[in-house]
Amino acid sequence: MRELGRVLDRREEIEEIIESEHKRVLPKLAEYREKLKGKTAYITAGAAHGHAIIALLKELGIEVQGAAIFHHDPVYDNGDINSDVLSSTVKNYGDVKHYNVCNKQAYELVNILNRLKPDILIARHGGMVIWGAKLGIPTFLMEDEQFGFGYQGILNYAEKVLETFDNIEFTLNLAKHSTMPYTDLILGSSWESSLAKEIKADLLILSVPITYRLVLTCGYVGYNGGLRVAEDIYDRVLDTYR
Amino acid sequence: MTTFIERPRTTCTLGGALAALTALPNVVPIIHASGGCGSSISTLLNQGAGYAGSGYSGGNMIPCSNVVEKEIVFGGENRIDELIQGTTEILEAELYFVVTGCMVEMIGDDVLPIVNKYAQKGVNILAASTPGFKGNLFTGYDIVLQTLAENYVEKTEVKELHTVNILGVIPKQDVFFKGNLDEIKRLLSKLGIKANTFYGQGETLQNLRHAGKASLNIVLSDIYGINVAQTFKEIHGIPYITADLPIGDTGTALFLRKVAETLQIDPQLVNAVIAEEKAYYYSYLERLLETYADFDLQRYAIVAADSNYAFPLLRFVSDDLGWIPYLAYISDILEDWQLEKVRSNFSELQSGKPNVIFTYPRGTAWWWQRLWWNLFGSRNWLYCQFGETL
Repeated sequence: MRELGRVLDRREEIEEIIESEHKRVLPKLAEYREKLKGKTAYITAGAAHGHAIIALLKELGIEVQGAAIFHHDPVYDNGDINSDVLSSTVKNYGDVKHYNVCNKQAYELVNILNRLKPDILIARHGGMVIWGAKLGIPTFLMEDEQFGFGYQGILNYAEKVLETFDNIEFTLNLAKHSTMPYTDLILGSSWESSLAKEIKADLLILSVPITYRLVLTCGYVGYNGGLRVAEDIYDRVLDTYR
Repeated sequence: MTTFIERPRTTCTLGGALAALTALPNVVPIIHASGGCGSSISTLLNQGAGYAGSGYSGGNMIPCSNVVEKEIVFGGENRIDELIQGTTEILEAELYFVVTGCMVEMIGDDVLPIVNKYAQKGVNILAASTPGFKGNLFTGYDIVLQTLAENYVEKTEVKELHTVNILGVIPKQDVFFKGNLDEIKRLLSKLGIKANTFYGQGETLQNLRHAGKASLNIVLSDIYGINVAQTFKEIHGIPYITADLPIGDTGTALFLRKVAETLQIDPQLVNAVIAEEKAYYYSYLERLLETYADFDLQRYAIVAADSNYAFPLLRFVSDDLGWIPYLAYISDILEDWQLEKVRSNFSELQSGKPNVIFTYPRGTAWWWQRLWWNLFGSRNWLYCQFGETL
């Protein structure tokens, strides 16, 4: 805003706008920050827009756990190292722990979301939202880059996030009944068999109590044992692989 | 034809030849056929065979002449010559082996003179005619091993009294071939017998090269590998016996006694070895007793397998494990005399008589007739001309 004022020679007018907007926005922002305290988020988006969303959410007091950013090359994008939005975001709002570039394979995203379990997923591209929703993570799609622009933009975002939290029952309920093309492997006991069925995991039973397999000469130690474990694990995995 | 085959139980003659070759150490097969043959067969031999892997130079590593319309119209002999030249320059092998597909056999390509040209230059190279229409995977195995027995195995009059060759365990059609052959080798070694298995762990081409020294061939099949044993008999003067795959105590004790008797091995040694193996076996199997009785695990068993496995497996499940043999479903295509042989095995069972049914219950002659009938609507001149040679 101040750069605009300098270039257009309207410094005083700009200062007035800034002051009045601060007066309007800051109390509301404080309210929103209070409501959003302790919430965590994960973002998948393109480069500059993704970095801007990180900044926005951090301004709202949301902890941004990580981001899957589709590319990052400010020099290639516009030939100006000064428009490196990522470094300005990090400088102003701090580091983003699980920040990755170009990890857009579905299995990567599913694994990350499953590990981080953020309170909300914000996606810039249709199709990416399904992985959050299937895991029971409240998710919204934000295709509009202008939605977060300016003073009003930050209030827009706060409202949008809170609206999403208003009713998460559909997501939570559907997550219980949705299926994933990825499976877990459990190396466990017979106790885990119901769990394995429930979460559709592959189970190799190898610790006590063992009631669902017969053990005679089978041993898992040494070179032969190693081959035998591999044989048994893949026996279970290939049994459910389609 | 209007039908297609998904997840086939076996593959064509070329496939059998490739299974037999890619499972050998340090052999580079060379395919003279169109590109799709090697590719589809390799996928089947890996994914359909317990992920057997491609071996030394199998899978997509197999050199292929990749014949197209040009070769079909003008002949593909120059192309295979060129391929052998390139392969022997680039790929190292103890043995190169050229196999052929349907299309080059139909146009009458003759690879033998070309291969002989290289053999005369000192290249270790063989060839066999293995078009898919000659039969199925079992035929391919027989052809490759017959060719090896005829042209690769050294002739010798000097026989080693207690050396045997194992035949009839077909790599990749029997997905357990390696484990099976290793156990056979271990058991026979306890009787003082050295077994060349060709496909087991640690086997080398030298074992195959010197297989002519054996004094007996053991064919672990009533049907397959017999032609190979016959070739060994004619060329190397080695007699053969057939035996069922030995599984568990009943089958294995029978097998060991049969082999020992043929080789005139001291019965006392045989008894001692069998007793030792039984002690080991029953110390483990005994643990099953409580479960067997408590859970009432005497159940009905159905086996669906090829003729090498169906009887030995059902015998194990019934005579060793005490289940009730209910049904045997034999999945391979058999000649009429083979059907009878396989069916008669089941009367040996100690514990009941299962129903035995066959995929092709009236033998191959009937099957081919049906095929031609379906293709042409009637027994036309084609069948009359070629029916017999098929």
